[in-house]
Amino acid sequence: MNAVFADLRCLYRRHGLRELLRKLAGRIRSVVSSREEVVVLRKDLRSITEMEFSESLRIEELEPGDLPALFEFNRRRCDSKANGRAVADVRDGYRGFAGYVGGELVGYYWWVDRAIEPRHRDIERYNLEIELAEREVYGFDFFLLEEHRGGGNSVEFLHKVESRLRDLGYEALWGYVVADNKPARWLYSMCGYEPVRRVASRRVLTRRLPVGAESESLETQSRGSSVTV
Amino acid sequence: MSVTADVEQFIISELSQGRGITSIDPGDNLLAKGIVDSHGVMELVAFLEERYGISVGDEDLTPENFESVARIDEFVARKQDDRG
Repeated sequence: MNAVFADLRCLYRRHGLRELLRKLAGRIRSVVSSREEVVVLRKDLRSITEMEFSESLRIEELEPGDLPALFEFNRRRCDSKANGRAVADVRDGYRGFAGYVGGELVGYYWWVDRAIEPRHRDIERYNLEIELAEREVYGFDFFLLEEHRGGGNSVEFLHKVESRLRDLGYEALWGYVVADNKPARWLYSMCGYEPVRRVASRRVLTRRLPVGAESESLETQSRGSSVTV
Repeated sequence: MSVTADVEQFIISELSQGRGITSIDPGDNLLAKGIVDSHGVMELVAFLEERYGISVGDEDLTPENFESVARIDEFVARKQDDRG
């Protein structure tokens, strides 16, 4: 409970009362009852072409020894709940990349393959119907500090993660994006991610109930896989 | 003013503020240059829809249509042709 109050104080200090109340209201709504639609995405990692960036963002594999730095990172972004997720992710053998600008940790990205976990918790929770094949990965929990968004940092982070995964021998990357998050959805499209299907679910208290899955038409899906990211 | 010049002007004046970008080559990759990010995409689409009276759908948001100013120019021309 102390952690929750610390997060609320942190949110108030960083963003003010209005933003604190907005986030609280959203959290309460989502706990009581909410309908959510997500879009399952897939990217062919073999289609990646090299891009030139400023090289200001450095990507490194997350190690268990990075947990203290992650805890400090989560404290700065007022989300101590993320500490528990990070500990569980490391314990379960999930792998991740940390992004640094200079010496500062600015973001992270987690992933699993079928050898680590064929059906990640998100796949079950949202009924994403993703069956990871050999040389396929599921990417999740991509976060970049707000002050480092914009100016192409998100694209650079994603591109460097994709390149590292390709270099590790993976051929396809799966993930999902919340359908309402139009900027993110469009950015993924621009980066060559193909929407595979939309999945709707309704949350009632602690239970998430499927509403139905709908595969989008192939005509709208056939976005070039030979794209420049 | 051509679509290319128009879009270049918009990107430099509206999307690249404070980043010292004073010119864009029509073939420059807008993602790689960090000119278009998630919010930049939204603003750019709103600009194109308003300026050229076209409608941009989700299915249009592909690298083939938006990765460079030259591609955007071609995309706008196709959209205007479709409108007849």
